[in-house]
Amino acid sequence: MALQIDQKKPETMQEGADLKTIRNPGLPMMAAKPETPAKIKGEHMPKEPAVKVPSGEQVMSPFDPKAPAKPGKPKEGFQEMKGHPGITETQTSGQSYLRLRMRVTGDRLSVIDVQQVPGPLVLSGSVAGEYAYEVQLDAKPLAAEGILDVGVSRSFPRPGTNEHFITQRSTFEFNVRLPRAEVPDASIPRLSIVVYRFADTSPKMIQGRISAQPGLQAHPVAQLQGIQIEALEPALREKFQKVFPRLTPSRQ
Amino acid sequence: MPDSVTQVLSSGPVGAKVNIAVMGDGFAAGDQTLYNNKVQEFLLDGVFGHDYFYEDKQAFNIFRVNLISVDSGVSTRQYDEHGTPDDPSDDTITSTTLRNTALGYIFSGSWAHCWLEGGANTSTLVNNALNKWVPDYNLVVIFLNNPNYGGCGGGGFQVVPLGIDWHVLAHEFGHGLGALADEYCTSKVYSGGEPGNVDVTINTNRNTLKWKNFVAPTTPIPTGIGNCAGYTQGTRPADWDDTQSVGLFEGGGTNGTGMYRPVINCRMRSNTPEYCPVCYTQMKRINDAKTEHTFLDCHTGDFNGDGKDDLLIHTNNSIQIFRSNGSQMDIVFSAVAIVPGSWQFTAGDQFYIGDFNGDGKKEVVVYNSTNWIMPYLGLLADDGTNGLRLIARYDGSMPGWQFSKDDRFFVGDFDGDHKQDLFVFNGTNWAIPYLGMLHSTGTGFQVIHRYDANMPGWQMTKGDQFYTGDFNGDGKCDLFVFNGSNWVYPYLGMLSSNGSSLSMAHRYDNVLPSWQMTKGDRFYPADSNGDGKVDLYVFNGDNWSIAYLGMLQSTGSGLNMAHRYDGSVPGWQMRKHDQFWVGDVTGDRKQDLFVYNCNDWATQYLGSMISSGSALSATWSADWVGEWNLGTVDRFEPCNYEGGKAHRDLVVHNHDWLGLIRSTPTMQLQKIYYRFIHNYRYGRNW
Repeated sequence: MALQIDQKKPETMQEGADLKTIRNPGLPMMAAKPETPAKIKGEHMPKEPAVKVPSGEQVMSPFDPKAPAKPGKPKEGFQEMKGHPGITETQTSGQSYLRLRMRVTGDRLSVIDVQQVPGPLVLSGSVAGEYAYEVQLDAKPLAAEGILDVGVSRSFPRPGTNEHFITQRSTFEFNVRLPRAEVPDASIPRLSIVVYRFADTSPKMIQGRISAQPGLQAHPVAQLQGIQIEALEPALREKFQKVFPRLTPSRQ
Repeated sequence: MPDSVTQVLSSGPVGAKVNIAVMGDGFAAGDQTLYNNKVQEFLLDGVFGHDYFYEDKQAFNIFRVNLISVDSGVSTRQYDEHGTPDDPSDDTITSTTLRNTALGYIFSGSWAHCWLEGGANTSTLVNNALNKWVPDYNLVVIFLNNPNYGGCGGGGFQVVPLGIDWHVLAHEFGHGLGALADEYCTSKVYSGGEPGNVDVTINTNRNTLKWKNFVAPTTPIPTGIGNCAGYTQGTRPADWDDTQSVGLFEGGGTNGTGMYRPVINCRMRSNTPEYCPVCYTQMKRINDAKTEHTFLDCHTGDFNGDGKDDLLIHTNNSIQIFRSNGSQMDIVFSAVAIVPGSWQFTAGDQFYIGDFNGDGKKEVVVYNSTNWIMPYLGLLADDGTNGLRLIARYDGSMPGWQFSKDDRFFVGDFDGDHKQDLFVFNGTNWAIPYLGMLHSTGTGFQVIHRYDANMPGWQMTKGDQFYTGDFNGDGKCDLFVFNGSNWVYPYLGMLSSNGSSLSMAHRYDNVLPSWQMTKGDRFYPADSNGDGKVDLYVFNGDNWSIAYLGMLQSTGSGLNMAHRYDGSVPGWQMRKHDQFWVGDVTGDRKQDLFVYNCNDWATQYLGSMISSGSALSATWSADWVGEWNLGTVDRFEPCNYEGGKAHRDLVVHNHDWLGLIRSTPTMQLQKIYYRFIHNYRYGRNW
C-alpha cells in the first residue's frame, strides 16, 4: 500500500521490513512490463550511426593512430604553466590596501611610514597577542589586527642552554593595514588609531569596536587621533601626498 | 649584480597571508649562492619543511631579498665583559671592525648584547630595503654573513648569523606568530599574577586550567612539582610522551618555580621538539584562516600501497595528503602553489585517482581547463617521500586529443595491463562529440582510439553519461553509456573494450529488463552478485509516482533484473533525493550501496543496503552518527581507510568538519576533526 502524500518533509522514516511506500499522486507508476513512454524529443537513435563528421574549425584534427606518442615529460623539463591567475591577477585587479608603519613610545603613537600595497586585504576578524590595534573612521571600525612579540629583544640561548637574554624596549613598531577603498583622501585627519593591551594572548573574535566589548578586557595604551600631514616630517608628508593626492594640509 | 627579490614561497595575495621578508647582510656578489642556499636550508627545508610550518605553509609568503654588499662578511665588534657576561651594563667596546655592507649590522658574539647590533644607519637601511623590495611583511628574517652562532629576536625580527640551525628560528616564530611564552626554566621564582600567554600559568586547578582540554583525566594536576619539574606526581605512564602528553609541570616562562608549563619539553622550551598540543593549537588558531583550508574537496586513495586508503585534500592552490593508519589520518604531504615537477595548483583543478602505473599505489591525474590560458592534464606520482611529484604533463593537447573546457574523464583499465587508463568525453565544446581512449604507459598517456561523433552502435550527443566497469569479466574495463535527454526515448549502451577499441555488446532502447528508462535514471556500476562482472544499480526518484531501485546484473553481454524495489528496500523507504555510493560493507565481494537522504524527511538518514547477490537489506542511522550531526552540506567519499577486505568506510566532510565513518553495517564514527586534522593524545581543538 502506498501513502499518497507529497514529497515534503512530513515525518521520520519507518523501521521494519514491511515499509509503506511514499507516493507522489501527480506522477504515474512504472509498469511491471515497461512500455514505450511519451516522446521526449527529437528522433530515434539509429542502430548503426553513420560517421558524419562536419568539417571546419570546430572539429578536432583527424586522429592518426600511427602518430608517435608524445612523452609526458619533455627533455628540457616543464615550462611554467601559462597565465597564472593568482597574485598577478589580484594585484592588478584594482584593489589595494594601505600599510602604515606605526611607532609606540610610552603612550605616544606616531606614524612613520605609509605604503600602498596592490591586491586585496583580508582581515580575519579576530586578534591574538598581547596587543592589538584598531582603526576607526568617524567611529566606524575599519581594521583590527593583533600585534605580536613587541617590546622586547631576545638573544638566542647560548649553546647548551635554553635561556634568552631579554631586553625590554620602550619603543616598538608595528604595521597597520587598511583597505584603501574605505579611506578617502580627505578622511586622513579623522582616522583614529588605538593600541590596546589584553590580559591574555589567545585569539579573540572582534565584532564591532574593541572598546565596546568589555569581555575582551582591552586597555588602551596608546592612540593617535587623526593624522595631520602638516605635522609630519617633509619626506613622510610627501609620501602621504603621493598616496593621497587629494589630501591637503589644513589651513589652521 | 643588482639587488633583487624572489618570492620563494607563494601562497596568495600578500594582503591575505602572513608575509616573511628575508634579507642578507654582508653577502657580496660572490656570496649570493651561499645566501640563497642558507635561506633554503634554514627556512624552506628547515622551518617550513617540518611539522606545524610544513602543514600550514599555505598561510605564508616568503620573499627572499638579495642585497649585494660591497664587502663579504659583516662588521664585528668585541666587548670586554669584565667577567660578567650576563650583565651588559659594565661592558666596554675593545674593538670594532667595520665593513661596507647592505644593512650595516655588527656581530659581537656577546649574549648580553643580543649577539649583534645595528649600526648607525641600520634601521633606515632595513626599512628602505623592505619598502623597496617587499610589498608587505609581518616578519623579517635577516641572515648575517658570519659563521658564528647567535641571533637576536623580537619585534617581528630575527637577525641571525650562519652558525645556527633551523630549530631556533622555529622557536622564535613561536613568539612572533603565536605570542607564545618561553617554557624554559632558570633559577628565578615567579610570584606575580596569571601570565597572559596560553602556554604558561600559575593556576593549578584542573577545572579552570587554560589547557584543561588537553589533560587526560588520569593525569595528576599538577603533574610535576619542584624546580623545573618533570613527571613527579605518581607513576609516569609507560606511553607518556614528553612533548605531546599534556599535564602541568612547574617551571616555565623563564622561571624555575611559581609558574607552570603544559608539557615536559616543548619547542618553546628547548627548540628541537615539535610544538606541544597547547602551542600547536595556538599557532593553528591564529594562522588557520590564512591557510584558506577547507574540507570541501576530498579524494581518497591508497597512495602508499599499504592497503589503507589515504586522503588528499585540495583547497585553492594547495593539496595535503593524510596517511591512514587504519583508524586516523596523519599529514604526510603538504604543497602550496607548485608541486615538484611543475604543476601549479589552482581552484579549478579536478582530481582523478587511479593506479596509473600498476605499482599497487594510487597516482593522481589532475586536470585544469578553467584557470589557465589553455587546459592542462598532469600525472602526479609518488615522490618516494610520502609526497607527489609531476611525472607527465600535457599542455593544451596530446597527439589525437585537444583538451577543452568540458572534457570529462573516467578511470578504468580498459586494456587489462593493470595500469588504469582514462576515457575522456567531450560533448559540448566541438561541432561533434568525441570520446577518447587514453592508454596509460605508466609514465604518461597515449590516445589509442578516438571516436568522432559515433561509437559502434551509438551516436554520441552532449547528454551522454558514462560509467566504467568490467561488465564481461575479462579484466578489461568496459563502458556503459546512458542518454535520457537527447532522443525520442532513453538509451543505455554496453560497450565492450578489447583493449584498444570498443564494440557494442548490447544496446537497450527505451526499456531495460523490468525497467522503463526515463531521463532521471541514475546508474551505479557495482558487482552486486560477486561474479566478477560489473553490474548496475539503477535508481529513479524523479519520474515516477514512487521511487524505484533496480539490481541489474550483467551476463557479460546483457543485463538481467535480479530485483526491482518499488518504493522501499527492506529497511529503507526510498524518496526522491536519495543519494547512493558503492561499497562492499561485508567484504563478501558482493558490492553494496551506501545511501543518504538529507532532503525528504524531518531529519537526515545515512544507511547501507547490503547485497545478498540477488536482494538488498538496509540499515540506517538518523540525524547523528556518533558525534557527527548529519546535515545537508555533508559530502561522502566511500573508501577503505581501515585496510580490511571490506570496502565499508566513508569519509564525511563539509567546509569545516571531517569525519571517518565505518559501516558494520551499523554506522560508527571513528574520528571527527574540526578545521584541521590533528590527532591529539588527549583532547581536541574545539
